[in-house]
Amino acid sequence: MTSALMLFYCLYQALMIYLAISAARSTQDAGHYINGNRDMPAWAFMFAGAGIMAGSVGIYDSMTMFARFGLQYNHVMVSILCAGFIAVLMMKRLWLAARIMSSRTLGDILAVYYGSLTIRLLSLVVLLFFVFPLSAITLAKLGAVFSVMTDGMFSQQVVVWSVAFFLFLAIAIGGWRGGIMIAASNALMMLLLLLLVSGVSYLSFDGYGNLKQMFDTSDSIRSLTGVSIDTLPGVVQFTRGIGKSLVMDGVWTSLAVASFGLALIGIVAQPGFCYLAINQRNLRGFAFQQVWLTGGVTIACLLILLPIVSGGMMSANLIASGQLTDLGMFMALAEKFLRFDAMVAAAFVLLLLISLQLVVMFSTLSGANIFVDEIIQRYVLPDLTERGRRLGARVTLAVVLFLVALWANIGPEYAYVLNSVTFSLSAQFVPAIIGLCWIPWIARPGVLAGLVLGIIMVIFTEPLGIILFEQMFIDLPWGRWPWTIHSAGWGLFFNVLTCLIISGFRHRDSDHENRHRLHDVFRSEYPADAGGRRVVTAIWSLTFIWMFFAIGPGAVIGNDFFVYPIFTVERSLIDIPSIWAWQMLGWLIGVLLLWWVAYGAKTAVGDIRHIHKLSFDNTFDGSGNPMQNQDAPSWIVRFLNRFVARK
Amino acid sequence: MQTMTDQERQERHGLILSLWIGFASIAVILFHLGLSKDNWIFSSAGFGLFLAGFIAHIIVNAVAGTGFQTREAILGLFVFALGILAFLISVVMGVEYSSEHFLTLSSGLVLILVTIIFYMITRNGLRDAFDQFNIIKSFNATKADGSASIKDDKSNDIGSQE
Repeated sequence: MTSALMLFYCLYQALMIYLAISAARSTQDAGHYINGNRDMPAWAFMFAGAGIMAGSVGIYDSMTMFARFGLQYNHVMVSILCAGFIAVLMMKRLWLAARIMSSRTLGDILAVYYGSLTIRLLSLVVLLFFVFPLSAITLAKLGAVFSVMTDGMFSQQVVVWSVAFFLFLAIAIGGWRGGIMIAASNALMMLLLLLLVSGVSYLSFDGYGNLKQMFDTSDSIRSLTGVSIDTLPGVVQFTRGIGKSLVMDGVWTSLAVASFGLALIGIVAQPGFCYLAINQRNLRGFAFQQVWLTGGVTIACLLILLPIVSGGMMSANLIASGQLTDLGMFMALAEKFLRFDAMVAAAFVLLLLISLQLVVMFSTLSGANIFVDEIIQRYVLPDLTERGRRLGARVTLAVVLFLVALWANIGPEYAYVLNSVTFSLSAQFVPAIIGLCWIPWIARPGVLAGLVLGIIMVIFTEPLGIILFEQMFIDLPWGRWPWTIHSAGWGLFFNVLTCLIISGFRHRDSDHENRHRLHDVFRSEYPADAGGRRVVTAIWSLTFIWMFFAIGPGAVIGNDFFVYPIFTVERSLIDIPSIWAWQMLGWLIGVLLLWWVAYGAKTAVGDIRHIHKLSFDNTFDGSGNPMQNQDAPSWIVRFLNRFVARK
Repeated sequence: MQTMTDQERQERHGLILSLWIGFASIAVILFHLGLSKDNWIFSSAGFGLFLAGFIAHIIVNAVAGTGFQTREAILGLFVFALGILAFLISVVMGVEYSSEHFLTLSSGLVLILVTIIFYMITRNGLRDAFDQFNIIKSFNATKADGSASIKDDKSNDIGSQE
């Protein structure tokens, strides 16, 4: 397999470099390097967006989690639709807001709209979590997988540095345009490789038969591992959290699934993903990506195909009495593929590598470019030319990739702790973004207080806060995910509650006119016409009913619904576990609802012929880059002047 | 064919390349599986992927408002000819296929040919589709009146010679 894998991987990397070169040669202008001159084609967003979603949920992580938790973890895949709903609601209006307000990044848009530097800084902090811990862990996994699968021919360190160098080469040549096209290409390749691998599993290993056999003996597996692999372990378990008390039958209760879905919203609310959307040429591709590629194809692959492949890992782990490590499970599955055919085994490993590489590439690329836009050009070197920006982006990228590779090599375990909050922190921006896009009375004090409280809740329901606090002070009475509710759920609950209450009192503050001006433009020139108030009510009523039954407390009905239907005493002859059928049904209905919201209510489609520019009184003076006129705190100005003003 | 800028041409090229890298490489693995395991299902899946790639290419052309570029057509015909040649040589050399596998390979090649002809006829009409390969006609037209050859030289689009 080693030679086949090396050949495939090197050929694929060479093709990616070629794609980067062709992208760079087509646009010699330096302005294209950072953000594609906001002229990115629809197909790049469609495929790259879906690929980033799949890669961030994680082929690697999903397979290992399925192998340990079975279909109770698989329910998380249905909750990806939460991210789809939020993306449908916010991407079009973010794209519009960026053009109306002449802003470049998510932090920029929110800072101008709410008139708050704190939001800008918080968005940069969240970006750092995506750029460093997430990328470092992912790169470390990539190195470990490649090293193990090639029988140690290359050490993990060599692979990590080589991949980091390759990524630097590809992105430094192709810039944003080339990088996103590579991401789109990777996404397509991932889809086809997954189809191949699952097809081979199904046809040649009897992958599904093997899985079904395990579902048929789920009771004995439950007694062996303490995890129920074919049912959700209840609506909620009032435990003190992972690490503090025992969770019966597995952690993925229906509230854990729903709250994890809230964390997945963090993937589309991250500054990098919003940067991807903002830099699109037009709105073509938004709805198609959100509904059909993410909601449809991505979830179908993860929900239906991935379990068929992961069944081999589950059985290997069971044979080893649940003692196998993640890499051990992958090795066992790769050996199974290898016994069948070396090329298929190489294709399986390539699938893992591409999915991991995609995440590293996107996180570092978007991080470096946003850093140049938000920090270097805004505060350090405001007079930077286009060529200077390109050079700055390349230098930043080199530094970022160097640090990521270094971290992946020397201390990925710290990255695990820090990364536990990445998606949840990003999801805390949802109230602020929804306020910007749809609800003009959500005000700055509410958003800021909600964000701060939400972030605190997230940090203290994940290892990052718990470990730090317990090391410095005393033991906390709760552990990770108390009551089997994910940190994103805790954070968003307090965040939204605080935001709504404070905004209710403070929405008539002095800045409310600015906020209303943007929403007036939205309403008058770019309306989302669902067809009347009754239709809107119907859409949202059905959506919340769907959420309740598909991923909320009602999902536990699916544990038995299709095996012991309520309308008969007979046992149904359905060939798959009831909860899996429930998941597929929930997914199908969810996609239909998503389609209705995106296309029917016109929240993600529209023909934009002109952009109505706005200048905000408190931050704009109508000349140059408006954001450079925003007052920065004096301590930042003094600190930066030490470097910038020095001759 | 509408005029494309360098950037638009590259975007189309990037998409086509991404599609074919995926479809062709997986199809090759499937053909390898089909031949090594003597399993007609894998081989037909390989042909299915080639056809899917071809259809995806046509969709991209329709969206971009172009036809197949000359280089793309040449590469496609070359690969197709190579496939036929490899199949014929293997038969002549005495490679033993099971009857299902032989039927799959031969009907797959015929199906691709039929699809290409069907595409050309539906896009250009029967007469123009034939004219795409009618070298003698263009040769005579060049002798009589240079305008035809100039027109052909300008067109870089196999499907758009109206």
